[in-house]
Amino acid sequence: MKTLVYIEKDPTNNKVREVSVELTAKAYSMMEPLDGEVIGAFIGYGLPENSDVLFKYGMDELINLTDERLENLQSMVVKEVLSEIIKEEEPDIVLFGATHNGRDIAPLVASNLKTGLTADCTQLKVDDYKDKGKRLFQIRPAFGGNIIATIITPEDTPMMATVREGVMPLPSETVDNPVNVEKLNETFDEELIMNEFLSVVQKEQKVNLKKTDIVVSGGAGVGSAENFKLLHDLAEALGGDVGASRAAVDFGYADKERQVGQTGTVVRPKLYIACGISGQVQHRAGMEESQKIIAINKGPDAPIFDIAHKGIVGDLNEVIPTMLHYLKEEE
Amino acid sequence: GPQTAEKLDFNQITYVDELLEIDDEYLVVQRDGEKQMETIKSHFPMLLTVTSNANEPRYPDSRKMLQYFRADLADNFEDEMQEKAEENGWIIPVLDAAELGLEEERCGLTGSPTRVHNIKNIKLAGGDLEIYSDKDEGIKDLVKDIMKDYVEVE
Repeated sequence: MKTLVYIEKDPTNNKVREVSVELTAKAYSMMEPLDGEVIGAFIGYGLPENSDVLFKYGMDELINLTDERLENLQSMVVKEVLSEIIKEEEPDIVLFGATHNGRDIAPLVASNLKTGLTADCTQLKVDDYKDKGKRLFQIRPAFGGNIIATIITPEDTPMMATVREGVMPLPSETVDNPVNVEKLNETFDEELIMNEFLSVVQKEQKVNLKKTDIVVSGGAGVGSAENFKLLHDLAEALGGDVGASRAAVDFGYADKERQVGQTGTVVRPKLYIACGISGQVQHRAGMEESQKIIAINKGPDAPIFDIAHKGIVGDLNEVIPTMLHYLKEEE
Repeated sequence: GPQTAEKLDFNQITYVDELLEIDDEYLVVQRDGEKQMETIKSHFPMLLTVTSNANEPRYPDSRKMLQYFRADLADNFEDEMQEKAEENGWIIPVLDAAELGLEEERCGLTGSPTRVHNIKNIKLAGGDLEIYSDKDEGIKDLVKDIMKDYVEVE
């Protein structure tokens, strides 16, 4: 079997996007037991400077087309070139990061090749399916996240899936395949360059919850933007950062970039302190892999207590100031 | 969105945050490129997908809601009502696969390349929950435990 991973570059640091590395490692873990192959496809301008990291996680070959005119996303070019690579290489599986650009390209290519695509998978595995031989089992939450569905593309190839960044953890061991970068000689039709980029401004990333060991998160139960400052105080005292549930973001207590959950960031810190978060499945999807979860909530029946390791049933507006008091004392 | 663009053979711009300029031939939009904000000019035809920032939908017009309160499929009107329904614009048009030139075997649930193999209800992991009192003593113990495990003491 063969898996192709669509490789993206992070324009803010010219490195491979983390999700591309995570998917390469995932593809390797699925292909290795079957003696399969993992290839990558990069279509853009200038290979990511640390492309060799892909080979460390099991990539066999990185096919690439780099062209000045592809510095920013030209969906029609990428669709054509990637479809051609797929027809040539005939992978069984094609994986994309569920990034803005991945979500732009994956459905175009799936539709162009008349095959199936499953978005935002949380687990992937290859197994026998009826009399169809080895197929990709694409597992993802459905219907608002209350059920987990396994989705199969029974007939068509390639079987395509997108996965969000941070969902598939990197293995601790690397494999150190030799670097094998294959430049694509083909070119593309000039007319497919349909988007003119008048300006491109890199976003300032103020918050990076993925890199924080301690996340203090607040939900609707925090009650006001004013109260939310308590969480910032607690996070600062602990050397962590502040996250929020979707409800807290919708109420305007916190910025969207702090949102943790199915539609926000997926985090797995050493410690996650959930304050006034009931623990809806959409939120849990973004934090339940945390090493330790502490819940502070007024409602003893809140589902957050079902996944928490430590908890206080009480009013966070009284509990957190007391915590801050004792934290000072401990210091 | 993108699958529709592909089927129409249209160019697409996804994650559009704002429409900046529109002309007979082209438009200029701001796209949220996740790591960067992009100002893109592109010619028609094209398909746009928008983010929740793109528009604040207005409330429905209450006069129109009353006017079209009875809107329905043609089959659901009694014969004697057909004419009146037509005059008032109450009939919701229905297109079928043939009119749209679609291959029937690629339509609907059976036409989808993907199948739901199975579904499972989510089971909660059920941790070893340790509850601390919300009184001073309990909070003090919790803070001590956090300090011990997670905060590096210099």
